[in-house]
Amino acid sequence: MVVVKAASSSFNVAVRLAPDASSGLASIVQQYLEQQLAESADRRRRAFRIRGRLGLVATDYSNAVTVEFTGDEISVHDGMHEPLDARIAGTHQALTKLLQGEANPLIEHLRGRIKVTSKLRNLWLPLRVHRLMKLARTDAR
Amino acid sequence: MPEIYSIQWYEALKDLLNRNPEVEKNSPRGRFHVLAIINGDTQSPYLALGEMRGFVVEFVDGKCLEYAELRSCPPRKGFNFIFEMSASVFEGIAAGLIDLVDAGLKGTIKITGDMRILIRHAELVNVIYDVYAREVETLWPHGKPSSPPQNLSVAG
Repeated sequence: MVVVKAASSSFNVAVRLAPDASSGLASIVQQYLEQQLAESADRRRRAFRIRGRLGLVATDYSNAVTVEFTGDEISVHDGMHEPLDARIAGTHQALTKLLQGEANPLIEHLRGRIKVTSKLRNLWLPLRVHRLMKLARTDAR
Repeated sequence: MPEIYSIQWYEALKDLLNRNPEVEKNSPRGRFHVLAIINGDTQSPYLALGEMRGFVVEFVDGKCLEYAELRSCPPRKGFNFIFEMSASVFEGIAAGLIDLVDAGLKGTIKITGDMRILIRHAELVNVIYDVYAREVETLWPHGKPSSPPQNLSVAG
C-alpha cells in the first residue's frame, strides 16, 4: 500500500489492493488509480469525496473488479464485492475507451455498447468515478 | 526458422516489430525500457522449475532498438514496465494458445509500471501479441505446446 500524500493538500488517499485480490485486472486498476492520484491534487480531492462501491466487468474476459471508495482509502477487490452501488459492464475494449477518455459512460450506455447501473442513493457514482479515472490528454505519452 | 529463446529468435522478433507499421503507430513516444522475467516451471520443456530467463526490450519512438536476453536479472528500478510470467505461459503465448490480454487480466502475467501509458496505448498489446503468436516462425526443438498450461501462476 502506498499512501499518496500531497504537500499542499490535506486530501491523503491511499489506494490499496484488497488482501485477497490476485487478478491482473485488480492490480492494473490499483496501480493506475495510485498513479492518477499521485500527480493531481484535484483528483485526490475528488477521490476523497467519493463514497461507494463500483463494479467494473470485462464481459468478454469474464473478469471483474470492485473499486470501493471510503474517503481516505480506495480498495480494489476481485469480482463483485457486494453490496454494489453501481456497475459498469462492457467489453475490455469498451472499458479501455472509457479509461482513455475517448468515450462517455452515459452515451455508451445509451448506444448499447456498455451497461451502466446504479442505485438511486448513489446515482452519479459511475460518472464521478469515470471523471476521476479517465486519462486527461496530458496524462501519458 | 529460429529456436525459441535463441538469439536469432530475439532478432527475428525485433525485426518483425520494426517492420510492423502498427507497432510504431500505437507506441508511446520517447524511450521505454521493458523487462520480461520468465520463471521456469514443471510444464515447460525449455525452462525447468527454479530457472529464470530475463530479457530487455528497448523502444525509442516506436522502434525496437534492443531485444536481448540478460545473463542475470538486473535491478527492477529503471524499467518502465516489467512483465513477469511462468515459462509455460510465455511459451503458450508464443504458440498462440494463450491470449495476452486474458493472461494480463487474470494475473498469469504480472504487470508493473506506468498503467496510464499501458491504457493509453492498449492497442499495442494486440499488435505485439500478433507478432509473437502469428508472425514470428518459431522452431520448437522439444515440442510445441499443444494446449494451454494448467494451474497457471507467475512464479511457475
